[in-house]
Amino acid sequence: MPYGYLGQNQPNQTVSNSGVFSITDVAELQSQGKLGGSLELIEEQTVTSAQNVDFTNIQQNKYDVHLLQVSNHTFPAGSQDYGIRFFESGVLETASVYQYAAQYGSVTGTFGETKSTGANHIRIDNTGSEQWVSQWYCYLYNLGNSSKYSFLTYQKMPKRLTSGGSYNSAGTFMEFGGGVLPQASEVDGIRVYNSSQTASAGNIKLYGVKQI
Amino acid sequence: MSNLRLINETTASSVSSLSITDIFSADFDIYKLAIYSDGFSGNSALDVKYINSSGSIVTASEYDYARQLLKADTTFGEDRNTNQSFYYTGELSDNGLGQVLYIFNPYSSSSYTFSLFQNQSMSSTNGRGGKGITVLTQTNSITGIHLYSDNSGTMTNLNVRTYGLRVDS
Repeated sequence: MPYGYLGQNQPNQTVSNSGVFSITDVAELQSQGKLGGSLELIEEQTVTSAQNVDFTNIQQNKYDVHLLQVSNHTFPAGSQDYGIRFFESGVLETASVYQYAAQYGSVTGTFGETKSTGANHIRIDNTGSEQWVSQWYCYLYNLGNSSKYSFLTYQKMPKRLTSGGSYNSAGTFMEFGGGVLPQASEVDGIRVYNSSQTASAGNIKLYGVKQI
Repeated sequence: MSNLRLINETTASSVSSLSITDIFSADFDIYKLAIYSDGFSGNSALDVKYINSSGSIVTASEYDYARQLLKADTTFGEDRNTNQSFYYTGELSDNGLGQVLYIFNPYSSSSYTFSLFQNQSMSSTNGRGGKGITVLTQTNSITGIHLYSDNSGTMTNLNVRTYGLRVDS
């Protein structure tokens, strides 16, 4: 059973018994390295005009699950693919070895699927003649294990913008999917990749999901 | 501090099933399980049954599920069923399965137990993703989870970390 959780009817809690520790709990959990939240921020980057955003200190030997959280990822108009590429021992993998599959849907009613077994990145989206802003996150598994493949799953909500920068009410989508780099290698870096446009922007946080 | 509270980490080697007990309680309403498995010969689903507050695996045919199979190499698939004695999640493989499973209100004795999951694995040389929803249509209090391979094959490694989602005002 989890530790004490004294919190029934505490004034700052909206559900009963939601996680206040006793002093004894704190001491014991701290001694075990378990105290605190379980998402640990590794790095945050806020970019205003960039093509690629690299995370090269991902602490892959400390975490076997990572969370990448991307807010207000904004793209200028123009043809582009964006997604994830991995660094293996410091070398960016650019070959067509990635695989992905995803399902998308539009508020205007169109649903579809996209997939590849030979892509040069794990696709998150591609855009065309209009600006977009996207909110998305992905979980990444086993990056640091040199004998395992590297997996990710993602979910996003992109929104098309008008030429004036306003929200286009018909251009709202959802998408979920996953991808894999089917190579047994140690991944020590993550690139949020854009194929061609150099002026994307957004806030990106990389977390490690704590393990015991 | 994030709102995830680590409750339990269980690692098993060379097993076809794993029961994790006493992880759901009145302390949290929503739980997140980060699951990783590898070393499985062929492909078969990772199945789930719950464990009730008496410590018994819930075998009643009261699980409903629906999942979408996202295949990198071919047409996507759908899989759904009602009144089953378990529910499917992701596809086990030799090269790994990464999965996040959220479970809602398991401990409550007045609510059904709901879940949703998303995963990524491999089938031979091809990527396999999945996303699904499930419900156990009984209100008995659930305190644990039982994971097992659908064809009774052995997983070399299985790691499950269970977190509770703390909610503050």
